Amino acid sequence: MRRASVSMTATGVLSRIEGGYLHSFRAMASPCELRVLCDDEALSARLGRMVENEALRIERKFSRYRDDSVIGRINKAGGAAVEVDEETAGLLDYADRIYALSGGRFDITSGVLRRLWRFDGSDRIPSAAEVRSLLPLIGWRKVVWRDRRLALRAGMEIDFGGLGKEYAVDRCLLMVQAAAPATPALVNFGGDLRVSGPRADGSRWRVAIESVDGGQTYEGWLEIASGALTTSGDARRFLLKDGIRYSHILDPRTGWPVRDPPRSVTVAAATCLEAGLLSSLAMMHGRDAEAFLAREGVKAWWVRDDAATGAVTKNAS
Amino acid sequence: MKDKQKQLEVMKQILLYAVGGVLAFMVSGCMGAAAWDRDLLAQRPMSLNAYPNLAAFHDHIYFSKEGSSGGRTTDGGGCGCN
Amino acid sequence: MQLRSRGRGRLCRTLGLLTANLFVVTGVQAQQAPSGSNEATPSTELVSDEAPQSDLGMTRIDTSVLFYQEDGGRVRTIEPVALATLNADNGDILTVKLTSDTLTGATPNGATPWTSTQTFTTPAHAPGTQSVVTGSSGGSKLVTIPGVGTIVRQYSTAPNQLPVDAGFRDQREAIDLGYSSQLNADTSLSGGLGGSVERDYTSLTGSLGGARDFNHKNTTLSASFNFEYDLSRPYFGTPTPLTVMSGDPKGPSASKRVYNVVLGVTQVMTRRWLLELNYSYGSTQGYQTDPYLIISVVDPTGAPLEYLYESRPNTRTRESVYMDNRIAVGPTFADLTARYYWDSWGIKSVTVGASDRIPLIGGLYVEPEGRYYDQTAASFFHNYLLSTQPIPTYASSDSRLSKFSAVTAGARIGLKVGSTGELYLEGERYIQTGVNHPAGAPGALAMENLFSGVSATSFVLGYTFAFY
Repeated sequence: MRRASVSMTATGVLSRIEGGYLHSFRAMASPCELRVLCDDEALSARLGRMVENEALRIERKFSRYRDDSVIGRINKAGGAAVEVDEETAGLLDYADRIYALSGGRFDITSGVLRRLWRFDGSDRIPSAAEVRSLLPLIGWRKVVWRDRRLALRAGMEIDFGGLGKEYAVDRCLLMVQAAAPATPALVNFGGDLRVSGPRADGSRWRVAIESVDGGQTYEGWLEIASGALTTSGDARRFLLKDGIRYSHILDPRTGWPVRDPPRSVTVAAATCLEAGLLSSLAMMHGRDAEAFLAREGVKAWWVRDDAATGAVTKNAS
Repeated sequence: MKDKQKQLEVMKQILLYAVGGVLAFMVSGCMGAAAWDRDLLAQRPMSLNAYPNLAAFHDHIYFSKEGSSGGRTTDGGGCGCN
Repeated sequence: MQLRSRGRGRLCRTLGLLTANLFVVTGVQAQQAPSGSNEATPSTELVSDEAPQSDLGMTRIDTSVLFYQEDGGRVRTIEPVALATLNADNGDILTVKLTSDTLTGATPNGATPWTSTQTFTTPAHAPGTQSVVTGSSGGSKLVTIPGVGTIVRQYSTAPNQLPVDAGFRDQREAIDLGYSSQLNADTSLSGGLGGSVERDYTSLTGSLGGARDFNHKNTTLSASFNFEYDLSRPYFGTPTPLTVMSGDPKGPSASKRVYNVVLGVTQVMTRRWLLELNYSYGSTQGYQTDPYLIISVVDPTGAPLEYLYESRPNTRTRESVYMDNRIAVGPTFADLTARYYWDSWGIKSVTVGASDRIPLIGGLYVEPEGRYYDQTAASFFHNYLLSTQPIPTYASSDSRLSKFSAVTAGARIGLKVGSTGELYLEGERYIQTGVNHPAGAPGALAMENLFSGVSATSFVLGYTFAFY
């Protein structure tokens, strides 16, 4: 795992693929790739380095593991107000509005719940008192965010989980588009992806949705000609106690896992940020995820385990 | 009297041409904004009824002082000023 | 596998707007150059300092007060309004609006000015009651008619002055409720109910409307229907039209019904231009005469012989086309409106309006605004009636039905308060210009100013904010 030792030089590998080049590297604890459809190797390499550097810049700047990142400085401030730059302010404003828009379901202060909930397949369920004791540290409502200065209460933490990687995908794709407007491109950071448009021959990109069970199986293929795709859900991460399966989707409003979320939700949207937020918000709606997707008219594809029968249903809307 | 009529007719013509031009633009297909290009349209001053109270005050004053009314909404005057 | 697409919901749309704005704020722009080391300096082609404003899930309160004063000590109004808009997470919207309106001052009674003092007599009692309904304020007095014992109210107008009834005071209370429901991602239905009560007037309204988005939400078609029932209960009863003004008790209350339909298209023209086009049709049936207005019957020298209560047709149909353009011009927001109106009473009018909201420093903006209005006279408008000619079926000297034009000039300044709040102050000057000396006025009437239109100054102070 990349921590404080992140190197800031591009170390990715450029390889030839059908119709173009693939630049692969690791960032944000995920395999990352840029696919460009052109025959210009030098351009492809330059674009690859640009994307890798941008991904590493965003990781370094917003990593919650680094004390010198913006997030690290805010979390370590012990309740003092921290002034942030324009880009961070934009993201915080964004998180602020999504918090409101989602009725508190999306909350960048919810990370402290990870101290209690470790989804390792075991039966270690925290007690109600333990959860209650953490709740005073959760809630974007409790922070003071004004004039580009953010003050957390002592003990609170924020992170850009659910935002940072998606933001990086969007930014990288926009940069590639700006640098090489005529070159079809696909940016994929650990399964969160966005394309610049159709492939060079006008056809769609074919994207495999990896099985959330892990392994090399696929849930299916999606075809995408424009916009972004993300998938939420991880069937390997759960707790099981007294026959009740606790999902890893935690509701920041209660501190407890969401009941009966789908196994995975894949959402298509114009940008990776939107797709990512919609897929995780759908998960947060638990058994009402499908209703949420239908109400919002989201292009989505989901997999649901029937707890009683063990049957797996796949659906699209 | 005749001048006034003529003036009104000219104004009406201008208005109809403007409406026609706009309709032509709409039909031509080179209009609209993609969802991610709506940053400006989403702002409060671009909303058609961002200041409902102000709009209601204006409508009320003009309704009570002028012979014409309506056009913007169906809302009536609701006051005895006829 | 192919994906089916659908219209998007409110949360989804808001998210799209927020995301678009994020990339404006954090500065990924199309001109980003590729380079080896890319510490992406955020370029800031910041189009505006305002974030996309969506009130989804929020409650917005809008409170404001109108201060309105007509020149020459005529009507003065103070009108506080409180509006609450409750936006549910699913896109449904409930609005509750309370209006209170206090009106004092003098209003023209419809008679022409004359070279000598004129005295007007009206009833002092409501029919069937003994209590005096209008006080002897504003220069009027209560007089007992000798022999009959009837108490009447009289007031006088000095020579060469516009006759006005100064004893005016009215209080109006109104409530309006509205509910709009998002049926699905593209369709909404709305309904509303309203009521307003004055001492001499009651108005009830109900409305229904629907809107549907097409063309990736670039086009919205809407239709709405409004019904209004008005009951006019003049202080002293309803006078019979074209009878002589007197202190005798008048007839019972009178009512009218108004039907209105508006068909509209709202079109996103470009990223910077939003257009609304409306066609309206309205029909009014019932009592539309102003029970307090009279019209002078003058002899060939222009001297008033008697005053008749005015008379208007019982039916009126109105039509209009209306256009509203919202255009983002550089950092400013312009609003350009135009309306053409015509009705069965013979009034045609053109209205054009323009305003431009200019951001200043620190969340402050200024918005100069202007409006021009021009109308023709109703077919039955007369400044006076001639005693030598037959009395027409319909006659009114209400300046609102005369030929005139009006100009409004003003400005609003606003200050952003917090992320959702705004304090604003608007000041406006409204000036009517009519025909002061119409051709053919007999005798000394030619010297009098027969246009009774007004000029007025108004201020609105308002504060709006939203919360979860």
